Amino acid sequence: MRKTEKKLCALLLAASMAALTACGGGSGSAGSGSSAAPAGTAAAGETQAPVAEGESVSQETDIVAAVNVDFTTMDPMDTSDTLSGGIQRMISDSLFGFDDDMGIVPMLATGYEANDEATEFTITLREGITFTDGTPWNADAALANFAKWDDESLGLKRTTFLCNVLDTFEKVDDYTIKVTLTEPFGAFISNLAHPACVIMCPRTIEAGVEECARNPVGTGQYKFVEWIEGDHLTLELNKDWWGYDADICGGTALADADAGFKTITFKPVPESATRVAMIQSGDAQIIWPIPTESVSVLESDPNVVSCQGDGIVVRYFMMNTQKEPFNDVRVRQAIDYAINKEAYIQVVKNGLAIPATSIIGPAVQYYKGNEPRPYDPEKAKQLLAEAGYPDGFTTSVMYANTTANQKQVEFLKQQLEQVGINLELNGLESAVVNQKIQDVDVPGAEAEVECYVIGWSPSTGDADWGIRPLVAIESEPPMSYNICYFENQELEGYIKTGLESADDATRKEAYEKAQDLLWEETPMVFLCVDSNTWATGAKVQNVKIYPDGAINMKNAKMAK
Amino acid sequence: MLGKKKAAGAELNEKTDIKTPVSEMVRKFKKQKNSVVALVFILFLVFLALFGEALAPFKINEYDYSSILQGPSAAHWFGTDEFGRDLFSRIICGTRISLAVGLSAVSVGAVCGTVLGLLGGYYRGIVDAVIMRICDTLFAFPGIILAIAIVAILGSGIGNVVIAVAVFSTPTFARLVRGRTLALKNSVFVQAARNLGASDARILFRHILPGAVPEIIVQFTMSVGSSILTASSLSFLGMGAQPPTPEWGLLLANGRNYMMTSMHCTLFPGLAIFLTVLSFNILGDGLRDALDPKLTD
Repeated sequence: MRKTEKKLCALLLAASMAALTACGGGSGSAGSGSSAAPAGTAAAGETQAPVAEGESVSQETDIVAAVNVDFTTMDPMDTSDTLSGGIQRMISDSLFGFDDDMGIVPMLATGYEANDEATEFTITLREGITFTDGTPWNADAALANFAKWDDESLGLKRTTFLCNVLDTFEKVDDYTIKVTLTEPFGAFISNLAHPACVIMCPRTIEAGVEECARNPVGTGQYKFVEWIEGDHLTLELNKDWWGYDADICGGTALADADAGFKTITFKPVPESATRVAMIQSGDAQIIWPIPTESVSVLESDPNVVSCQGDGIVVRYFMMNTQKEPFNDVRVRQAIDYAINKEAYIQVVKNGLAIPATSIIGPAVQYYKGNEPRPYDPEKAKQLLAEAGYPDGFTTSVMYANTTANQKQVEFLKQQLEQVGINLELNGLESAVVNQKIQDVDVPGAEAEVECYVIGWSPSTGDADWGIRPLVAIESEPPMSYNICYFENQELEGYIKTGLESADDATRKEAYEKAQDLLWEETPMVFLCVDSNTWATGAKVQNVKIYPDGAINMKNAKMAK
Repeated sequence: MLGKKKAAGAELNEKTDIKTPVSEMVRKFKKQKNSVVALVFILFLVFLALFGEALAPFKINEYDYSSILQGPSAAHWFGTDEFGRDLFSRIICGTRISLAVGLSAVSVGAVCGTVLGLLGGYYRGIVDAVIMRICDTLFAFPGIILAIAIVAILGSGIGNVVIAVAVFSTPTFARLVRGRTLALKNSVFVQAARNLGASDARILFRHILPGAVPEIIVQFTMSVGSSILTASSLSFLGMGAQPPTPEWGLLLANGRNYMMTSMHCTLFPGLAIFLTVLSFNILGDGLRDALDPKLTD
């Protein structure tokens, strides 16, 4: 009797344990399954689309795009990463935009007139446009945006972009505004084309910065649907976009409304290999960037189209010029001599880059190339000896520990070892890096950072934004990215001249001199200009990446 | 009760058997061919750890940009990595790191755990309650999560990995030794020692601890395997050894980017980790069979 009781007990126990584990497993998989379900099913449906028939299927199609980092904010004025900026460009249009080659074209404006001093701009607005929430686009809406750009009290990352130059802005009539600047600013129209200046709905602006960051409303080709931080961001095609209407566009429509898909889901996938696996398996239809080491794999895959384009992202090895030993220009030049740029491109970039010849890339306005310093470790050692470091020294580089950065700094370490410099690698979470580098308000000599690796692309396409944020005194952290803490009065003069003139020849001369000076002073080693790489599923067409690294889906199409 | 029985059994064995416990263990251990092979492999690893750097055909960080990601060949037995470094040499040199991390972390854990277990089991009461509740709390976390949490607090680096692994292997030893202590505390020889006026320390370390040693040895061997695995996992996740250290987990993490084109970059470090952990586990199994008085041949 007791035995059977025991057996029964054991049986019950076993059964309950089985039930428990089943519950645990079940709820776990259900949890992860449900979050992945929308994208997963859509992707599966999409890959089978050619077999299935009917266009209603494709009209509902969702495209999944895998990107390398998460988005930071949806408020254009608070955005400092190209990825978020690119999404904002899809949701909202700007007064002036870029064509595929970063030439400036009117968008929500139809044109402008400026006085000779470049202090007064009269901008005419395009008529017949509404925001996706129904608010009409007119001079009042434009002024609401200017008011936001001018409001320093909001404390947004890009506020200094315009607020220092904006003086007054007023309505001339319903579709004309007049903007007066405090000082001549030649790059004003270029700056209006920067993604930070895309136009947001006045209602959103009124609702406050929090609303701007989370629920953007614009006039754009895509409508914002939702953004679950760390998981996905969804956009829906805006069928009523003004760009599809030939009349509003003034002749020809900007794009064909029949895109063949309904929504795009962007997923942050930091792991390079996972992004590649996603596009190969059909879980994603767009990925960028492609890890350079996977380009050859994707090129041989018939289901994937891999693409390359010229970029304007320049890679730098920054040195804190306020700290020893980098306060000596000979040391900085020695490091430039010690790094083999050709090998860098071959090993780190798998050949998908060109040597940098200036602080800005060749596609940027007023670019002037210089002769790169040859790879010469002997010369480097000699310079180090002259500077008083015959046996080299130890320094450290801080970086966000992505796969690509890791490889990059390891290469730099190997190169600098040859001339006796021991580069300690200090890889950190990107948020921690930002905190340690950006959120510090101390003079350069007291800043923790010694060296830093960074890539920068001037999304205005203008030399000013390729130089000022990186080396001007006003741009030292926490304001912007002068992590070299480079301070040079002569350079400040050139930057000022370039900013304050609307005259092409004057600006050109100033920026060329600035580039020469930077090349000589070497506050940072100019490593290379990245080529952009991206890949799409074979049926997704016309997806491009702007030279600055943001996605361009204006003419994207999904083949049926 | 159980302890008394066991002790009595052991005494009986000793009387009828002239062999010493050690020779008895060796005899039992030899019968297990798997474990012997594992032991030989581990000794080989120890040899590599000591002399690997001298034996390796290339230097650890000797790069060659002209032979990047090449497959296994006569010159490079395990192929080369993304900087053209010889993978064979790097794996050999990595042996030292992995073994050192595993052994040192578990040693620290074993010493701490043993002392805590002895104290808790012998003194009972509040001391025991506090120690065991802390251990229970640590047990509640899966090992790797706990290790990640500790490394996240301390910062990444191989030294902190050792601390993390030591912390999470401590409660296992504490619980094990406490159990033995409870059992041995009331045995005749311990009572005799106490009656003879031996101090607590003497009783704990001279009379009770030796009784727990077989279990500690088995647990130690098993833990080394899992610690190496945890340390590699942490490095794989970027929280352990920092590049360019040839730590196996790090090699694996690096190679993962080239898995599609150059499988050897993940295959060989993976094999190294796999074989090492497997060897320690098999050895641990064999030792248990040889040391456990409950198991007879």
